[in-house]
Amino acid sequence: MEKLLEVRHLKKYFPVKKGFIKRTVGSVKATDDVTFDIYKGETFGLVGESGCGKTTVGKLILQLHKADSGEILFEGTDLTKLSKSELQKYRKDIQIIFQDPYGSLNAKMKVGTILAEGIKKHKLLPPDQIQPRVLELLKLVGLHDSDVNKYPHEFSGGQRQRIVVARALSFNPKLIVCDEPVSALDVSVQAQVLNLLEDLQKELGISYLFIAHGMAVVRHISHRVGVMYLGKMVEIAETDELFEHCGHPYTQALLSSVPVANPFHKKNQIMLEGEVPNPINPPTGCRFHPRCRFACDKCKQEEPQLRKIAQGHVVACHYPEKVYGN
Amino acid sequence: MDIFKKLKKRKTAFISLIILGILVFLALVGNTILGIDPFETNSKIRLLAPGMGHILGTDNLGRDVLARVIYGIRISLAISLVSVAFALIVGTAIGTISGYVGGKVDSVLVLIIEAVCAFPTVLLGLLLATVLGSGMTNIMLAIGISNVPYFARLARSMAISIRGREYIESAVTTGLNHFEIITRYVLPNMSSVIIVQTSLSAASALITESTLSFMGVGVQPPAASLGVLLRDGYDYISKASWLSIFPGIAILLTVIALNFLGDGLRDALDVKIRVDN
Amino acid sequence: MSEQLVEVKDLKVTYYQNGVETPVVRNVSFEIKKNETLGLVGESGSGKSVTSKAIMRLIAEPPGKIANGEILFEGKNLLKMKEKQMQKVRGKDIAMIFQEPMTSLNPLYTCGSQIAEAILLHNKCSKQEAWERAVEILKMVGVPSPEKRAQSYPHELSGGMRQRVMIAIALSCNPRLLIADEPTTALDPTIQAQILKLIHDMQKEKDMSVLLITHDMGIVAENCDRVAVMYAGQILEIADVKTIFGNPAHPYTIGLLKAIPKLDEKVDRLYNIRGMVPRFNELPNGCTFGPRCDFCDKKCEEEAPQLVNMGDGHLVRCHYAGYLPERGI
Repeated sequence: MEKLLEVRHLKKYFPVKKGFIKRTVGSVKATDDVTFDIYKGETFGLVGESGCGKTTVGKLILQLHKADSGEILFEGTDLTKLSKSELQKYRKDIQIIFQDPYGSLNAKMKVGTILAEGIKKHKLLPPDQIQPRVLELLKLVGLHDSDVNKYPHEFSGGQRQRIVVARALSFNPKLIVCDEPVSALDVSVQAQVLNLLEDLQKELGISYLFIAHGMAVVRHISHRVGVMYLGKMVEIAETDELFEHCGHPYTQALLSSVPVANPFHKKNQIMLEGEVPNPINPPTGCRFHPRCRFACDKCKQEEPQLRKIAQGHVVACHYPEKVYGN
Repeated sequence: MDIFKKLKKRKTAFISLIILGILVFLALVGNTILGIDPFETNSKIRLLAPGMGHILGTDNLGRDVLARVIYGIRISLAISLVSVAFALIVGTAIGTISGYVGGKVDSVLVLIIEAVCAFPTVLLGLLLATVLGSGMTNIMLAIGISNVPYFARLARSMAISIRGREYIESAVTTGLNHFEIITRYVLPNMSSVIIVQTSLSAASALITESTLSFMGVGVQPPAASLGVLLRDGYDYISKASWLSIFPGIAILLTVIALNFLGDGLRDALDVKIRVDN
Repeated sequence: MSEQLVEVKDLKVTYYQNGVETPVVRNVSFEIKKNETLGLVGESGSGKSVTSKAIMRLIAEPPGKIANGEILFEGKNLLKMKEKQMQKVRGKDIAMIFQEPMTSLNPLYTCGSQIAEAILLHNKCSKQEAWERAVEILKMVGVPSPEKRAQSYPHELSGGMRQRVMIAIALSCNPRLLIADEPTTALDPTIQAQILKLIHDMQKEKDMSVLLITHDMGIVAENCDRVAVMYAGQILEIADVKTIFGNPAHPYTIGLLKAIPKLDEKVDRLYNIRGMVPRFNELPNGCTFGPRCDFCDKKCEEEAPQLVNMGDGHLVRCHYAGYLPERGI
């Protein structure tokens, strides 16, 4: 398969400012040396708990934040090196779907205007073809022609998320960053949106970067999954491999902490002690070591790098064999 | 229109709107329709009490008080509306830029806004009127400038909160430039707050105008705003109280109507931010 | 384990919306047995939180109103109690924890003093004793260095710690019933697991019953003994947890279970429950789930189904309960 996006050693620290003169007193290490690829037509799931930096990765790819260092190669072009005007050409190729369908639509614009805006801006179609395209988009996401003249507040949460999806599709994007796209939705509506995303991928060959904390959703929709912890990518593998034979103690604990909707199944839960440390002052060595049940001296001192433990499966752990295959 | 329908449900606001409508109508064509001239003097009918012929009586030069009050409403409304329009445009522009751009630009603009804000409106108006000289245009400018900070503050805080919303990020990924984002996303989303502020500011501008004119730095005769009428009548307060009562009632009515309309708009538009001023 | 602690009978709660009295909870009857965990599941707008608030008599009147029904707590009808008596029940017999602990804790007082206050309210003891007990409870709910944490203000704690403090306040007077309204929805999975385990351990230790309100079927499966599925203000199905997951009888329950992505198996395509949850002011005639149901027919459109007993306390609100297999589900 062909690579669509290559993220290389991506780093972003947010300065922490204090006091009247806004002196920088430290920095939140939101993403620290993150590397991964997204292939054409695939869904790459990015999971982790709050503060792990997964949302920052998404925003860096969208160029909503400027990376401190590292590369974001989109079809071979490094987006971080582009000037503002050069970047505009790529805007239409990478789109976003947010978690909150209430906050991500401009309440003062009609649905038709929202959907036409990108097409007009990038002159994707001649003016007389815009309206038919807008109607086609609405149909594609399961809304009616008559919805084109309504305002966002006239829709339910699930329908709004469909509008957000249609808006993203209006650009004919190659990659959509989905930041928790279903976590604000009810269970029955969540299934509708997930199915819609899958159908669109099959039909249009779009790639998704699917950022979520719901492990079951990620398992369902992703082809490959990356797990982040405190700004670091700790494991990347194909979905089935990751969920059945994970290689990082954090992934293992994360998976075991997710409640399973099956009362007949007794699982071995690995209870993690403590909480995620402060990303301003992450632990030395392996960032997970204070909560890891296998941690030893080496983990405290030496930071583990991502290394291959099986085909398409990389883990940042000194002792992956303790988890992998067990 | 949506706002109009919602406003219709709120009685006080709707009645205020009707009263304002009548006042504006009177101010524009009242004297023409009634066929009375606010400037026509007649020494034979000086200080006539209200009654037949001259419903609201006449003043010390024998001018018809009704005609003068209607004329005064026209001048006062014109001054307050023009000055608020000025404050609205300039203040919203400054505030929006300040809040949207942030950083050093914001710090400097905030400093200026706060400095202007530190002066009481009337004092600032007095100061500007003295510097610029009295007269209609200058009084408009003076009141307008002193109202700029209120709009600027409001627009700034709105712009800051809107800037953090997700739809702005999606506008950026759409590839819109800053001008497009401000005009299509930021300004429309603060419009309801600004509308409410406009109505309330118009009321306070009218009071400021009346105060300045009363103090003699405002509109100069023969032009007469409600404040000027009030001042003229002041000299005859014991002999001919109607000279000050009727302009006073006109001021009261307009200000109350504008304030109720503002409150009604705030409810109708569901504005959550408290508008101070 | 068979004795009832709480019996809710034919509860009806209405809210005034635009001058119209709209029922948001209707014909809700269930019981909570001693020491059991009853799960109340449903999507937003199903009435699950309103039901729990009704038990605590926390429905704001107006716009809300408990229009009908009885809520028996150890045989006493809570709805007939005077507000003063009810205040003694709240906190002492029935305690509640919420989704967002930050908004339910007072930001101006230390965590320790808030727990101590709850203790003083329902027990006769000195301030010193109450404080010591507060520290003890904080230790019990797994707060590290409880003496220090008792002096902390809520904003100084993480979300998980705040929820622990909330649980500490709730447990301070040894309640018989703990109502947990989406207690872990705002928390990360690893912290969620810690909190759920804590609630479970505390239940064992204190012999209390738990009413767990959630939308997450996984949490239900792992934590509840019995489950009531709510939809549009009604209970559609109620049974023990194994029956709900192993042998569900209502099309909504079946659909819901097929609609959620599973962690332990990969399905090709999720089941689609079409449409959306109806608003309370535009509920359909007949069966409320009818318009979204794959098996809806004329009878369902016209006649509202009653709860049917399928045996062993398995109640289903469907005309075709038990006959669905023949209809091809």
